[in-house]
Amino acid sequence: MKLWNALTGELLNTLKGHTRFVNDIAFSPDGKRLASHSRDGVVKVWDVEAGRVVLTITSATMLPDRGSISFSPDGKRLAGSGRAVSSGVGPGALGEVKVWDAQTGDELLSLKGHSLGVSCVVYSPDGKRIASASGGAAQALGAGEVKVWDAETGKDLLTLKGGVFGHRIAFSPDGHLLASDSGGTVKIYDATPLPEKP
Amino acid sequence: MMATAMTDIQELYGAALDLQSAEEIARFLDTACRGDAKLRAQVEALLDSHRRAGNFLGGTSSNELATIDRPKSENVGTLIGPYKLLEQIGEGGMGLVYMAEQQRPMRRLVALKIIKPGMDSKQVIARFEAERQALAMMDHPNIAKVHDAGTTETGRPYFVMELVRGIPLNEFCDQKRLTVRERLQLFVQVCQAVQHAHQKGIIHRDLKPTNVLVTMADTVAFPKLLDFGIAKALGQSLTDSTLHTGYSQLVGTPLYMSPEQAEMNLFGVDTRSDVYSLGVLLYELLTGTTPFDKEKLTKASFDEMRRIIREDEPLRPSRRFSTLGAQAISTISQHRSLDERRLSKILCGELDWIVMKALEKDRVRRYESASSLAADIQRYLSDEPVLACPPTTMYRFQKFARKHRPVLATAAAIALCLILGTTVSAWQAVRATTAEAQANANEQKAVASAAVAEEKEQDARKERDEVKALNEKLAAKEQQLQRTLYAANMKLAKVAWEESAVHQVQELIEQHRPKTGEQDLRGFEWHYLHRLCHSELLTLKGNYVDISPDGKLLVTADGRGNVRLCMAQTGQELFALKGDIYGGRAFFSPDGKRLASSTGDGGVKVWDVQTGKELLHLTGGGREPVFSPDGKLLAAGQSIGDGTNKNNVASKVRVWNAETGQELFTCNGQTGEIWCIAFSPDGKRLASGSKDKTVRIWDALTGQELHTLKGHDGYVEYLAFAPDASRLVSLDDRTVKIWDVKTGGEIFSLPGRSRRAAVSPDGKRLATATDGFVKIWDAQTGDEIHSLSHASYSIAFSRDGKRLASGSGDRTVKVWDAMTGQELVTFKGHPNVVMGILFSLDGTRLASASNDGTVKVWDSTTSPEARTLSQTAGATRITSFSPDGQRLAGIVRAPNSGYSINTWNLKTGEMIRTFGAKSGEGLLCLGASPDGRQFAVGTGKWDTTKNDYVGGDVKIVDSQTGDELRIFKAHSTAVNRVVLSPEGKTQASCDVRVAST
Repeated sequence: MKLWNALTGELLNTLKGHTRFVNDIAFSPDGKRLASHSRDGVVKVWDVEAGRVVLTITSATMLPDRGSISFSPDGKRLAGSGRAVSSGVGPGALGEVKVWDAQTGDELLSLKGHSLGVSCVVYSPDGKRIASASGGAAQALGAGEVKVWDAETGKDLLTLKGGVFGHRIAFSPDGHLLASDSGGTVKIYDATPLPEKP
Repeated sequence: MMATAMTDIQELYGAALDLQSAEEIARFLDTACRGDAKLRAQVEALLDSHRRAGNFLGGTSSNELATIDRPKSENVGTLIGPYKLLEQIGEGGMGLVYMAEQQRPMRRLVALKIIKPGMDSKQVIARFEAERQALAMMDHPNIAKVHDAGTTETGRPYFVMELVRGIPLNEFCDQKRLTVRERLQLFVQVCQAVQHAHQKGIIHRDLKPTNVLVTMADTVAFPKLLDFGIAKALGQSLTDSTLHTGYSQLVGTPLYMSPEQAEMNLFGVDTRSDVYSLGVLLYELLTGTTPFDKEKLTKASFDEMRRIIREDEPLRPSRRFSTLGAQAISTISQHRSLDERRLSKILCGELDWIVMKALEKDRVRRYESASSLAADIQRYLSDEPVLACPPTTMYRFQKFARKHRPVLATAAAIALCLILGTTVSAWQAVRATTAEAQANANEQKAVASAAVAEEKEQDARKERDEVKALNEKLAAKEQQLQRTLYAANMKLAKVAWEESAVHQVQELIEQHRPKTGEQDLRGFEWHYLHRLCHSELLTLKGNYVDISPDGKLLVTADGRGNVRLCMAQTGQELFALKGDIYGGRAFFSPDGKRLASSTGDGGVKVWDVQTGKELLHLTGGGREPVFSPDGKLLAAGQSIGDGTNKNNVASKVRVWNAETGQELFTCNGQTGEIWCIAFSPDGKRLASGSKDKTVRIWDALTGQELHTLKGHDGYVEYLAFAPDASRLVSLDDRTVKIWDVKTGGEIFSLPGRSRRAAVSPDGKRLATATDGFVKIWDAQTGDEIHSLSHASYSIAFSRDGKRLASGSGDRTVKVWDAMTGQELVTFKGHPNVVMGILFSLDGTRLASASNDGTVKVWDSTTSPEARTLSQTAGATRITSFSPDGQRLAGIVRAPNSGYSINTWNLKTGEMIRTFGAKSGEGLLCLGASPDGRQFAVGTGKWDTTKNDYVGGDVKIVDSQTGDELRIFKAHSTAVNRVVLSPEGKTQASCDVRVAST
């Protein structure tokens, strides 16, 4: 992983430590830490300034597909695709989302329900929900899904079906829209509160 | 004024009569007359004459009472007015209660209460009459009605009441072993009934368990309050019930009597006295015993009893309970289905406070109403904090100070002296010293008492803290349960949505709309589901709909003659037209200026769309009216039966000038009711389908019959000409047939059982609802092109022919690509079968009519479940939204073309910008700066010989122009992920970092 200053183009640091391909990286909300999720099944949290690892979590997924990592808006937690229950390979693997304490690395929640590997995990802007996308492999086309979870209790609240391999999702800044690039098209799920009837 | 004085005298007299000794009477009169010498003299005069009459005061022994209460003159079988006494069912302090049969004006069983002698019947009846109107207004299921009052032949007042066969409240609870919770729930009902009476201005004044009977209605316990209005009529104060000490049940009343009643403050009784009595009832329900000991109160003299009620603080229920004997505790606990320790624990705390608040000596400190007592109990039952609370320190101190006022005054005076002590004379000092000793002693006493008070208060505080902690724990537990329930219901709601049970989705989610004070658990999923439930643009009443040619107006008909014209955008109703009686449908003329509807009674009405004015009312021919394509003609069917057989009718199609209403010609010949009529698009032909299973083709100018098309096995329901008028499509209740209009010959018929048919606007395709599928056929050859799984009852092509909509019995409306057969959108919201469906002219709107009586309008292009952004086909990877949430960017690798970075407008779903990549350059990942002005894009260089990426760069791109601002060349393989640090929120910041991997 490399860090640059975006304005000057100066290379600040090269972060080395993962033994395999790095799936995903995410800055903490204050920008001081960087979390990385690798195919070696490890999540590392780096001190951006010092360029060293401050936390190593080993319960992450080892899927050959995409893995994902996301900081909660308050920076206290990390959510990412976790190590699957089964072999973790192929369309039969059970995808899991895990929530870790971003300071201690303790596993706080394990969100079970995806039937395929989890390709993307994001926090809602208010931190109360976690959305995750799953899709296994190309042959599992259409079997992927997006789930919305209670970030506090880990309860499964909503399942949106119909995705494909390795898709990504994003919340709008107000948390009312959820975009997903599933199925080769971009879909927008709208949860903008309806005006209350007088 | 006179009346009041009379009442006064009578009441006091009556009360005094019942007292036992002359001494008590004197004391009673001292209090009651309050120095009103005149009043006292009058009462005494009455008493004197009474004494002289030989009925000596205090002589009413229990034996005597018994004989008086069972007078031979009013036995079972006696007729009192219209009431025949059937059976004695009760005996109370005031007299005997009989079950009686009312003979007229209606026969019914009633309860009849005959008051014991000693009351002035006239006064009693007068007082009852005064309150009768108010009593009549009391209508509450938990209050026994008082029907009537009168005087027996022996001159005794009686009351007639609704007959209630029940068990006194406390006995019922013990018998059924009701738990504390169940008791409270029952008690709340009692409070609510009392509240009802209070609202009607009636105070009970004598609430006690025997006046609250519980009956069982099915398996539900149902309390009934008796004797409302009777205590008042009897002028009852303390007097009538206190004195017959030989009868324990007679002493019942003082146990439930409020301090102000005990004070014999005859006119100071208000609704809060009943609240006090309710407090005693509750005390008894909880502890199995009354606040004051029955024995003690029974044995006490009249004055002592009054003092106890007015001054003695009863023990809190939990304390009282623990002071009872082991045997009693065990019995009482068993009656409440609890073990002993638990009952004490349950009582301790909030229940104690609730009861004690109801029992406050000072009525200002009591619950202000029966309903607020009930509300506090309900708060307790639902684990909310109660209003009642242990007395505050200040209150305790005030109480303490009142009791020990003299001591405290001395202490304060001495304290002052001590302060001034240094300046006073020796003599004073000596005096002061002497006094000091006294003061110290007093002070110590006071301090000791205060310490006791303090200790008690600490107890209470500890109790309160414990309860608070418990409440918090419960609240946390409830929170957790709420969240679990919420999650479960959200899941159920999604399942219900998938099953198109939108009303169920709504029910499930509405449960979680937070009420005041509740935590809002709702999030993305709730609002998403809520939107799904309201995904239609409009909902209108009716089961038939038409859209005006310009798309601006909608007309609905509900089959009951109501025709409504609305704005298509807003649903705003312009006119509500009444077609005399049941009319099937309403539709626009081809120019959109007129509106027509059959009136069901064999007529057609035409209205002006602008004004709503009725233009024509054509009678004789109201079946399936239709305008000619140019709008100049109006045709409708008419059937004339011969009266013998409904099916044996002569039918004709009548054709009028649609503007003047002048009849032009009739097409005669068909023998069954006309079920459908169609003009050919060129306006030259007219076709009609009938119950006689034929289709006729007529000359639309003359009415001359050209062809009779035979071959259908059923009633012909639907007809449509091909756009070029060369072919005619007809449908009976099963088969679709295609005919040659010129020759009248059948070309082919479609296989399967069809319910509906539609011809595509270009005439090349046919769509049918057949065998649970939507089928698309080649209109020339009859070959099946697509078979789409949707058990539909209605189908319609969009006017450009590109899309097909179908409405189904599964409560969904689906839109299909008419060319590829691909399902485009599904709409849900109708609770029932969708019978009619239609696109607007521009195809953006879809109207559906269901036999649930609603018409819904949908945006035909957008799926309620998810909007799809345009031109995103192919591999697409999105990044974050723009900071304002209006745009979204992503990388698209369109099939057969290179990579590009696209930006979409989320409102319209349209693409705003696209920046193509250099040829041979793969765009693999995209990040956006926090301000949205720059993209960071990760690239990969693909080596076809190695079949792998051989390098990758990170580029910073202006999100507006697509200009490359900076390139970081560093990775030896493709860049998989690029993110920008959230720090540099402003452009000026030089601390924006890019991380890539």
